[in-house]
Amino acid sequence: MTFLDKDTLNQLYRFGIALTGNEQDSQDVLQTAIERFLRNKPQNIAHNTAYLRTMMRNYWYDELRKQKHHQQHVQALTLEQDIISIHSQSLEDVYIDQQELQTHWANLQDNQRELLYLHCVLEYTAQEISDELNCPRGTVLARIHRLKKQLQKGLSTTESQGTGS
Amino acid sequence: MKKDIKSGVNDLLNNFELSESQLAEFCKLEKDSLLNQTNSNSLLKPKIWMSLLASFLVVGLFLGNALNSQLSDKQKIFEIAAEVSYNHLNLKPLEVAHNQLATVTDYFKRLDFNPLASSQVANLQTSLIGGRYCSIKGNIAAQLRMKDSQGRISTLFESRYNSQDFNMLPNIESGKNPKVVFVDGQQVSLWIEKGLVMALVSSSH
Repeated sequence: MTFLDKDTLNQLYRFGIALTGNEQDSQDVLQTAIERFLRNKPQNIAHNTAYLRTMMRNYWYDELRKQKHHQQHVQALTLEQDIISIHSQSLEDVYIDQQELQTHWANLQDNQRELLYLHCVLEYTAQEISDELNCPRGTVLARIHRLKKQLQKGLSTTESQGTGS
Repeated sequence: MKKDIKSGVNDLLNNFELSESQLAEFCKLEKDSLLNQTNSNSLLKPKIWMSLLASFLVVGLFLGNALNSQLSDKQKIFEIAAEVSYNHLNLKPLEVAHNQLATVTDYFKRLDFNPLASSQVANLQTSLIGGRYCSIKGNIAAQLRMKDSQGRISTLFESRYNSQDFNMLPNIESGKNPKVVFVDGQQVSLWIEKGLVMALVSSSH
Protein backbone atom coordinates (compact mmCIF):
# COMPACT_ATOMS: atom_id res chain seq x y z
CA MET A 1 0.00 0.00 0.00
CA THR A 2 1.41 3.40 -0.92
CA PHE A 3 1.43 6.28 1.53
CA LEU A 4 3.36 8.88 -0.45
CA ASP A 5 0.35 10.69 -1.87
CA LYS A 6 0.41 14.29 -3.10
CA ASP A 7 -0.76 15.77 0.23
CA THR A 8 1.76 13.81 2.28
CA LEU A 9 4.62 14.71 -0.04
CA ASN A 10 3.71 18.40 -0.03
CA GLN A 11 3.32 18.31 3.75
CA LEU A 12 6.83 16.81 4.08
CA TYR A 13 8.19 19.26 1.50
CA ARG A 14 6.86 22.21 3.54
CA PHE A 15 8.34 20.70 6.68
CA GLY A 16 11.64 20.53 4.76
CA ILE A 17 11.35 24.21 3.87
CA ALA A 18 10.69 25.06 7.51
CA LEU A 19 13.69 22.95 8.52
CA THR A 20 16.21 24.07 5.92
CA GLY A 21 14.90 27.50 4.98
CA ASN A 22 14.98 26.93 1.23
CA GLU A 23 13.38 24.85 -1.53
CA GLN A 24 16.52 23.22 -2.95
CA ASP A 25 17.69 21.83 0.38
CA SER A 26 14.15 20.77 1.19
CA GLN A 27 13.99 18.66 -1.99
CA ASP A 28 17.36 17.06 -1.25
CA VAL A 29 16.47 16.30 2.35
CA LEU A 30 13.09 14.86 1.34
CA GLN A 31 14.56 12.73 -1.44
CA THR A 32 17.29 11.32 0.81
CA ALA A 33 14.83 10.53 3.60
CA ILE A 34 12.44 8.74 1.22
CA GLU A 35 15.24 6.75 -0.41
CA ARG A 36 16.56 5.65 2.99
CA PHE A 37 13.06 4.88 4.25
CA LEU A 38 12.24 2.71 1.22
CA ARG A 39 15.64 0.98 1.32
CA ASN A 40 15.49 0.14 5.02
CA LYS A 41 11.74 -0.62 5.08
CA PRO A 42 11.45 -0.11 8.85
CA GLN A 43 8.84 -2.34 10.48
CA ASN A 44 6.25 -1.52 13.15
CA ILE A 45 6.17 2.19 12.40
CA ALA A 46 2.92 3.70 13.66
CA HIS A 47 3.27 7.02 11.85
CA ASN A 48 5.22 6.92 8.62
CA THR A 49 5.05 10.71 8.17
CA ALA A 50 6.43 11.41 11.65
CA TYR A 51 9.15 8.82 11.05
CA LEU A 52 10.08 10.50 7.76
CA ARG A 53 10.20 13.89 9.49
CA THR A 54 12.66 12.44 11.99
CA MET A 55 14.79 11.05 9.14
CA MET A 56 14.74 14.44 7.41
CA ARG A 57 15.70 16.21 10.65
CA ASN A 58 18.54 13.78 11.40
CA TYR A 59 19.89 14.00 7.87
CA TRP A 60 19.75 17.81 7.84
CA TYR A 61 21.54 18.18 11.17
CA ASP A 62 24.14 15.60 10.05
CA GLU A 63 24.72 17.72 6.95
CA LEU A 64 24.96 20.88 9.04
CA ARG A 65 27.44 19.20 11.33
CA LYS A 66 29.55 18.26 8.33
CA GLN A 67 29.52 21.83 7.11
CA LYS A 68 30.55 23.10 10.54
CA HIS A 69 27.76 25.65 10.28
CA HIS A 70 26.39 23.56 13.04
CA GLN A 71 28.63 25.31 15.54
CA GLN A 72 26.32 28.28 15.86
CA HIS A 73 23.34 26.00 16.05
CA VAL A 74 24.93 23.89 18.80
CA GLN A 75 25.75 27.07 20.73
CA ALA A 76 22.13 28.11 20.50
CA LEU A 77 20.99 24.70 21.73
CA THR A 78 23.46 24.81 24.61
CA LEU A 79 22.02 28.11 25.73
CA GLU A 80 18.62 26.49 25.78
CA GLN A 81 19.75 23.95 28.33
CA ASP A 82 19.43 26.76 30.92
CA ILE A 83 15.75 26.19 31.13
CA ILE A 84 13.96 29.20 32.43
CA SER A 85 10.99 28.88 34.68
CA ILE A 86 8.06 29.11 32.36
CA HIS A 87 4.80 27.41 33.16
CA SER A 88 2.86 28.43 30.14
CA GLN A 89 4.22 29.81 26.91
CA SER A 90 2.23 30.24 23.77
CA LEU A 91 2.55 31.98 20.45
CA GLU A 92 -1.21 32.46 20.22
CA ASP A 93 -1.01 36.16 21.09
CA VAL A 94 1.61 37.03 18.46
CA TYR A 95 0.07 38.93 15.56
CA ILE A 96 2.05 39.67 12.43
CA ASP A 97 1.43 40.67 8.84
CA GLN A 98 2.52 38.41 6.00
CA GLN A 99 5.24 40.72 4.75
CA GLU A 100 6.81 40.99 8.22
CA LEU A 101 6.68 37.23 8.67
CA GLN A 102 8.46 36.66 5.36
CA THR A 103 11.16 39.13 6.41
CA HIS A 104 11.71 37.45 9.79
CA TRP A 105 11.36 33.89 8.45
CA ALA A 106 14.74 33.94 6.73
CA ASN A 107 16.47 35.22 9.87
CA LEU A 108 15.12 32.50 12.14
CA GLN A 109 17.29 29.53 13.11
CA ASP A 110 16.47 26.10 11.68
CA ASN A 111 15.08 24.84 14.97
CA GLN A 112 12.90 27.95 15.34
CA ARG A 113 11.34 27.48 11.89
CA GLU A 114 10.80 23.81 12.70
CA LEU A 115 9.16 24.79 15.99
CA LEU A 116 6.82 27.15 14.11
CA TYR A 117 5.93 24.33 11.69
CA LEU A 118 5.12 21.87 14.47
CA HIS A 119 3.19 24.46 16.47
CA CYS A 120 1.38 26.33 13.71
CA VAL A 121 0.90 23.81 10.91
CA LEU A 122 0.57 20.53 12.83
CA GLU A 123 -0.87 22.39 15.85
CA TYR A 124 1.22 20.33 18.26
CA THR A 125 1.21 21.16 21.98
CA ALA A 126 4.48 21.75 23.82
CA GLN A 127 4.32 18.15 25.11
CA GLU A 128 3.78 16.75 21.60
CA ILE A 129 6.66 18.84 20.27
CA SER A 130 8.92 17.60 23.06
CA ASP A 131 7.92 13.99 22.20
CA GLU A 132 8.66 14.53 18.50
CA LEU A 133 11.99 16.27 19.12
CA ASN A 134 12.89 13.91 21.95
CA CYS A 135 13.78 16.78 24.29
CA PRO A 136 12.36 17.95 27.64
CA ARG A 137 9.10 19.92 27.61
CA GLY A 138 10.90 22.71 29.48
CA THR A 139 13.32 23.10 26.58
CA VAL A 140 10.41 23.45 24.17
CA LEU A 141 8.81 26.08 26.40
CA ALA A 142 12.12 27.95 26.60
CA ARG A 143 12.38 27.89 22.82
CA ILE A 144 8.83 29.20 22.45
CA HIS A 145 9.61 31.94 24.97
CA ARG A 146 12.76 32.96 23.10
CA LEU A 147 11.04 32.80 19.70
CA LYS A 148 8.17 34.93 20.96
CA LYS A 149 10.58 37.55 22.32
CA GLN A 150 12.54 37.52 19.06
CA LEU A 151 9.41 37.95 16.93
CA GLN A 152 8.06 40.73 19.15
CA LYS A 153 11.41 42.50 19.14
CA GLY A 154 11.56 42.21 15.36
CA LEU A 155 8.02 43.50 15.04
CA SER A 156 8.62 46.52 17.25
CA THR A 157 11.76 47.34 15.24
CA THR A 158 9.80 47.10 11.99
CA GLU A 159 7.01 49.25 13.40
CA SER A 160 9.39 51.94 14.71
CA GLN A 161 11.15 52.01 11.34
CA GLY A 162 7.75 52.32 9.66
CA THR A 163 6.73 55.20 11.94
CA GLY A 164 10.05 56.95 11.49
CA SER A 165 9.91 57.05 7.72
CA MET B 1 -3.19 43.52 7.78
CA LYS B 2 -2.05 41.60 10.86
CA LYS B 3 -3.07 38.04 11.51
CA ASP B 4 -2.21 35.47 14.13
CA ILE B 5 1.08 33.66 13.75
CA LYS B 6 -0.58 30.30 12.97
CA SER B 7 -2.43 31.64 9.94
CA GLY B 8 0.68 33.54 8.86
CA VAL B 9 2.94 30.47 8.91
CA ASN B 10 0.32 28.32 7.19
CA ASP B 11 -0.19 30.92 4.46
CA LEU B 12 3.57 31.31 4.02
CA LEU B 13 4.25 27.57 3.66
CA ASN B 14 1.19 26.89 1.52
CA ASN B 15 2.88 28.95 -1.20
CA PHE B 16 5.30 26.04 -1.66
CA GLU B 17 4.25 22.96 -3.58
CA LEU B 18 6.12 20.21 -5.36
CA SER B 19 5.74 20.32 -9.13
CA GLU B 20 3.94 17.49 -10.92
CA SER B 21 7.26 16.09 -12.18
CA GLN B 22 8.76 16.15 -8.68
CA LEU B 23 5.70 14.39 -7.27
CA ALA B 24 5.90 11.79 -10.04
CA GLU B 25 9.56 11.21 -9.26
CA PHE B 26 8.88 10.57 -5.56
CA CYS B 27 5.93 8.30 -6.35
CA LYS B 28 8.10 6.35 -8.78
CA LEU B 29 10.66 5.77 -6.03
CA GLU B 30 7.97 4.24 -3.85
CA LYS B 31 6.41 2.18 -6.65
CA ASP B 32 9.80 0.75 -7.66
CA SER B 33 10.49 -0.18 -4.07
CA LEU B 34 7.08 -1.82 -3.66
CA LEU B 35 7.52 -3.71 -6.92
CA ASN B 36 10.79 -5.20 -5.70
CA GLN B 37 9.14 -6.09 -2.42
CA THR B 38 6.15 -7.75 -4.10
CA ASN B 39 8.33 -9.78 -6.44
CA SER B 40 10.30 -11.20 -3.57
CA ASN B 41 7.23 -11.70 -1.33
CA SER B 42 5.18 -13.65 -3.87
CA LEU B 43 7.75 -16.42 -3.86
CA LEU B 44 8.11 -16.48 -0.11
CA LYS B 45 4.47 -16.73 0.97
CA PRO B 46 3.61 -20.43 0.64
CA LYS B 47 5.17 -22.57 3.34
CA ILE B 48 6.28 -25.22 0.87
CA TRP B 49 8.29 -22.63 -1.00
CA MET B 50 9.84 -21.53 2.25
CA SER B 51 11.03 -25.08 2.95
CA LEU B 52 12.34 -25.56 -0.57
CA LEU B 53 14.03 -22.21 -0.51
CA ALA B 54 15.66 -23.00 2.82
CA SER B 55 17.00 -26.28 1.39
CA PHE B 56 18.35 -24.53 -1.68
CA LEU B 57 19.90 -21.88 0.47
CA VAL B 58 21.73 -24.45 2.59
CA VAL B 59 23.07 -26.19 -0.52
CA GLY B 60 23.81 -22.82 -2.06
CA LEU B 61 25.76 -21.72 0.98
CA PHE B 62 28.08 -24.68 0.61
CA LEU B 63 28.40 -24.75 -3.17
CA GLY B 64 27.78 -21.33 -4.52
CA ASN B 65 28.88 -18.80 -1.97
CA ALA B 66 31.30 -17.14 -4.33
CA LEU B 67 28.81 -17.20 -7.21
CA ASN B 68 26.09 -15.69 -5.04
CA SER B 69 28.30 -12.85 -3.96
CA GLN B 70 29.26 -12.18 -7.58
CA LEU B 71 25.61 -12.09 -8.63
CA SER B 72 24.79 -9.77 -5.79
CA ASP B 73 27.65 -7.49 -6.81
CA LYS B 74 26.33 -7.42 -10.38
CA GLN B 75 22.92 -6.43 -9.09
CA LYS B 76 24.40 -3.66 -6.94
CA ILE B 77 26.39 -2.34 -9.89
CA PHE B 78 23.29 -2.38 -12.05
CA GLU B 79 21.34 -0.48 -9.39
CA ILE B 80 24.01 2.24 -9.20
CA ALA B 81 24.17 2.42 -13.00
CA ALA B 82 20.37 2.71 -13.22
CA GLU B 83 20.35 5.52 -10.65
CA VAL B 84 23.04 7.63 -12.33
CA SER B 85 21.59 6.95 -15.79
CA TYR B 86 18.18 8.16 -14.57
CA ASN B 87 19.77 11.34 -13.17
CA HIS B 88 21.73 11.87 -16.39
CA LEU B 89 18.63 11.56 -18.56
CA ASN B 90 16.62 13.76 -16.22
CA LEU B 91 18.80 16.78 -17.03
CA LYS B 92 17.78 18.71 -13.93
CA PRO B 93 18.76 22.40 -14.07
CA LEU B 94 22.41 23.17 -13.37
CA GLU B 95 23.00 24.86 -10.02
CA VAL B 96 26.33 26.24 -11.19
CA ALA B 97 27.14 26.90 -14.85
CA HIS B 98 30.81 27.41 -15.72
CA ASN B 99 33.46 25.77 -17.89
CA GLN B 100 36.23 25.94 -15.26
CA LEU B 101 36.42 22.96 -12.92
CA ALA B 102 37.80 25.09 -10.07
CA THR B 103 34.80 27.44 -10.23
CA VAL B 104 32.32 24.58 -10.40
CA THR B 105 33.94 22.65 -7.52
CA ASP B 106 34.01 25.82 -5.41
CA TYR B 107 30.22 25.70 -5.50
CA PHE B 108 30.05 22.27 -3.80
CA LYS B 109 30.58 23.49 -0.24
CA ARG B 110 28.21 20.94 1.28
CA LEU B 111 30.29 17.95 0.16
CA ASP B 112 32.60 16.16 2.55
CA PHE B 113 35.11 15.62 -0.26
CA ASN B 114 36.64 17.62 -3.11
CA PRO B 115 35.40 16.77 -6.60
CA LEU B 116 38.40 16.00 -8.80
CA ALA B 117 39.23 15.80 -12.49
CA SER B 118 39.32 12.14 -13.46
CA SER B 119 41.93 10.49 -15.65
CA GLN B 120 39.07 8.67 -17.41
CA VAL B 121 37.49 11.94 -18.53
CA ALA B 122 40.72 13.66 -19.56
CA ASN B 123 40.80 11.71 -22.85
CA LEU B 124 37.26 12.67 -23.82
CA GLN B 125 36.81 15.60 -26.17
CA THR B 126 34.33 17.29 -23.90
CA SER B 127 34.12 20.59 -22.11
CA LEU B 128 32.59 21.23 -18.72
CA ILE B 129 29.33 23.19 -18.66
CA GLY B 130 28.38 23.08 -14.97
CA GLY B 131 27.18 20.99 -12.08
CA ARG B 132 24.62 20.31 -9.37
CA TYR B 133 24.20 18.31 -6.20
CA CYS B 134 22.70 14.83 -6.37
CA SER B 135 23.04 11.51 -4.58
CA ILE B 136 24.19 7.97 -5.29
CA LYS B 137 22.62 5.25 -3.12
CA GLY B 138 21.66 7.96 -0.63
CA ASN B 139 25.19 9.37 -0.44
CA ILE B 140 25.60 13.03 -1.34
CA ALA B 141 27.32 13.43 -4.71
CA ALA B 142 28.45 16.00 -7.23
CA GLN B 143 27.13 15.86 -10.78
CA LEU B 144 29.43 17.44 -13.40
CA ARG B 145 27.85 17.95 -16.80
CA MET B 146 29.95 18.03 -19.98
CA LYS B 147 29.25 18.61 -23.64
CA ASP B 148 31.18 17.47 -26.71
CA SER B 149 31.62 19.34 -30.01
CA GLN B 150 28.45 17.75 -31.40
CA GLY B 151 26.41 18.92 -28.44
CA ARG B 152 26.15 15.47 -26.82
CA ILE B 153 25.87 15.58 -23.05
CA SER B 154 27.77 13.30 -20.72
CA THR B 155 27.67 13.39 -16.93
CA LEU B 156 30.35 12.54 -14.39
CA PHE B 157 29.09 11.70 -10.90
CA GLU B 158 31.45 11.77 -7.94
CA SER B 159 30.77 10.66 -4.39
CA ARG B 160 32.83 9.78 -1.35
CA TYR B 161 33.79 6.09 -1.26
CA ASN B 162 32.24 3.93 1.43
CA SER B 163 32.77 0.19 1.51
CA GLN B 164 29.14 -0.59 2.40
CA ASP B 165 27.71 0.73 -0.86
CA PHE B 166 30.64 0.65 -3.27
CA ASN B 167 33.04 -2.18 -2.37
CA MET B 168 32.18 -4.07 -5.56
CA LEU B 169 33.55 -1.34 -7.86
CA PRO B 170 37.03 -1.59 -9.43
CA ASN B 171 39.78 0.71 -8.19
CA ILE B 172 41.64 1.92 -11.28
CA GLU B 173 44.69 2.76 -9.18
CA SER B 174 45.10 -1.00 -8.67
CA GLY B 175 45.37 -1.40 -12.45
CA LYS B 176 41.73 -2.45 -12.93
CA ASN B 177 39.48 -1.16 -15.70
CA PRO B 178 36.24 0.69 -15.01
CA LYS B 179 33.11 -1.47 -14.93
CA VAL B 180 31.02 -0.69 -18.00
CA VAL B 181 27.30 -1.46 -18.17
CA PHE B 182 24.52 -0.31 -20.45
CA VAL B 183 21.28 1.05 -19.01
CA ASP B 184 18.44 2.82 -20.83
CA GLY B 185 20.60 3.08 -23.96
CA GLN B 186 23.31 4.85 -21.97
CA GLN B 187 26.85 3.65 -21.42
CA VAL B 188 27.71 3.81 -17.74
CA SER B 189 31.31 3.43 -16.53
CA LEU B 190 31.89 2.98 -12.82
CA TRP B 191 35.15 3.03 -10.92
CA ILE B 192 37.00 4.16 -7.81
CA GLU B 193 39.74 6.74 -8.15
CA LYS B 194 41.60 8.81 -5.55
CA GLY B 195 39.22 7.66 -2.83
CA LEU B 196 36.14 8.73 -4.76
CA VAL B 197 33.44 6.77 -6.50
CA MET B 198 33.02 7.97 -10.05
CA ALA B 199 30.33 7.20 -12.61
CA LEU B 200 30.45 8.48 -16.16
CA VAL B 201 27.23 8.34 -18.20
CA SER B 202 27.15 9.04 -21.90
CA SER B 203 25.05 8.03 -24.88
CA SER B 204 26.14 4.69 -26.31
CA HIS B 205 26.97 5.00 -29.98
